[in-house]
Amino acid sequence: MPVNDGPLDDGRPDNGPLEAIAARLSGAVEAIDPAPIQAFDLARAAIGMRSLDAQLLDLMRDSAEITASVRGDGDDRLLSFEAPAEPGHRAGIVVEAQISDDHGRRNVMAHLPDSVVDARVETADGVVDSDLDAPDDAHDDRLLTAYGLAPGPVRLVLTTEDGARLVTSWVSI
Amino acid sequence: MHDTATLLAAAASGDQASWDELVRRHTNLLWSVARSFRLGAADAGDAVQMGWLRLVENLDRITAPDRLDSWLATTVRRECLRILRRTGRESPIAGDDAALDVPDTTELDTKLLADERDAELWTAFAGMSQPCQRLLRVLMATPPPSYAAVAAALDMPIGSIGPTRARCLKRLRSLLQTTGGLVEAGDVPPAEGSDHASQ
Repeated sequence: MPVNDGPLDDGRPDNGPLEAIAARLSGAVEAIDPAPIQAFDLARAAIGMRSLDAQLLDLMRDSAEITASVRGDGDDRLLSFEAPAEPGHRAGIVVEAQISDDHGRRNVMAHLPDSVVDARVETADGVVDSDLDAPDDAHDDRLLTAYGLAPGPVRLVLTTEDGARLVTSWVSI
Repeated sequence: MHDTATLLAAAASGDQASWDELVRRHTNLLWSVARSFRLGAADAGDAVQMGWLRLVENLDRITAPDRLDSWLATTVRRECLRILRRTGRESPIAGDDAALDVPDTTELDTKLLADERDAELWTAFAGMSQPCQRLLRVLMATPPPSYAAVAAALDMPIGSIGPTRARCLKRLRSLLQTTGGLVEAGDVPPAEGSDHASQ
């Protein structure tokens, strides 16, 4: 898109076409800092992570949305996922997850409704080792834990006692 | 060439080739958005990947396919802000560079630029204010993004993109004049396929 190319603000004559500079800069960006091949590979693979038969739990709150100066450095990150209020979706399901840093790796501790009978933690590379505590008679939340994850996108995949599958939105931890 | 709505619908039906075409069209823009926030390569890669993963989980919710580039750019911008905030770097507010402590343009390898004048151009670009670097970095993505997508990427009014672009390019030219790397009068934008237009 052409730019009106008048005199410079300081009154000097305008003898350098701005579009030529823009074109050279665009070429320089492409030469020096293109999107890496891996970014394209991961993007192409992302479609394979689609969960057609699972209900999505949206990320509703993220303590990382609050500036660190308010939150305080070193605090664990708190995430809250909920089923959206959409027709055909079960309401009232809330998953709270706490993300802590462990020397550059991430630990995940998630509180799940007691109706959950199976749960796992997924990354873009697949399922990681995790532990779901045993149900109790008091109908307390169930606790899903996973330790030592590499930083990057994760989600939780849950199955409830009536066979429904739930999946949280992806978050980069 | 299929339009975005057709590609999105086909991708939602499981057509990998259509999804790949969407990736080919938009990944450079998303990378530029992440880099405009001065994220290092690992964080920028995470932000871009998150943009695509979020699109996958929202494939059935995209109501305006013609604005997919803006949707993706907004998603990646928000992810960049999350990354900056959770790592204590806050958001890069216009004119506020002190809060940033991340890799920037000066760390990139200018030896990749064969033409000495391009290296001087890059050095001048790296010396610009952060708001100008951010805007030009996104605008210079290949293929050139729509102003709507740039506005979404940077959370700027769309009407300010053109005037700010012109102001930043004039500033860049002024910096080149002081360093002697000014593009000669009469230079024309390189033709597609020339050494400047491709890697």
